[in-house]
Amino acid sequence: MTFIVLAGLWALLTETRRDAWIVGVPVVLAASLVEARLASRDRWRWSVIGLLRFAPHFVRSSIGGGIDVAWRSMHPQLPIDPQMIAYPLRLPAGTARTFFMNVVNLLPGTVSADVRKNVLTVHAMDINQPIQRELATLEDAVAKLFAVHLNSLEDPGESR
Amino acid sequence: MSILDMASLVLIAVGCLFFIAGSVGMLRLPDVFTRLHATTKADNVGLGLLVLGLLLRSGSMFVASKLVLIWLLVLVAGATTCHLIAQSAVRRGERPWSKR
Repeated sequence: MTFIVLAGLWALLTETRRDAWIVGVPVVLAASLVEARLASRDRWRWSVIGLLRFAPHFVRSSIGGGIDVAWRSMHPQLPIDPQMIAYPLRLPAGTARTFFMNVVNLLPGTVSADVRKNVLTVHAMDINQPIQRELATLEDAVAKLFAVHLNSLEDPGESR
Repeated sequence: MSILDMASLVLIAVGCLFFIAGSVGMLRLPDVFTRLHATTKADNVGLGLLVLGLLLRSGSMFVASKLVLIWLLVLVAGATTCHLIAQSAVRRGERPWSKR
């Protein structure tokens, strides 16, 4: 799978020039081998319907995030009220959680700062906004995208 | 000038506005965390619009897909780096700026 994706990328970058494969084939092979060694044992899958549902949500939120931070930066009074908040994660450790933490960075007003023992530290630009609710909505969407079950907060489930 | 050219021009111009806003935020905001907000989010949207605008006038499948690839790579790199900088700031004991 990795091999096919990498070969495709190489074809794209070299605009399918024949002689470029002299370099391309060994590099793609080597990269696939390295990937196979480094990849986490964590098995995960995409759900196509989940992706179709997630994509518009993601695009809308990241545009919202850009507008929000641009507006705050340009505003003469600099309307920010930042604070660190703790968000207990329901996503199990693994690819889905990593993905969630990355997407948090692109949403309006949140940057994921640290994670310890299933608690995510989030830096919020404006504490007066419903951050917890927005994070919970996003977490649900990511869980659907990866087709994983969320841990309930009472029972934190397995942790690393 | 065709409608396509106009649309591409508007997209690129608005994209640049986001880059400017991100840079202003970088200069005006008080600490490392708030500055991360400005650079990652404003620049991601700025680059997105820029790429969309350029796509309209790329004229070649290869150029178009390379543009999209650049966009995706910057998106992933931006989000990951943002988290890494924030994490190292937290673990080094950086105190977030606060109004109170």
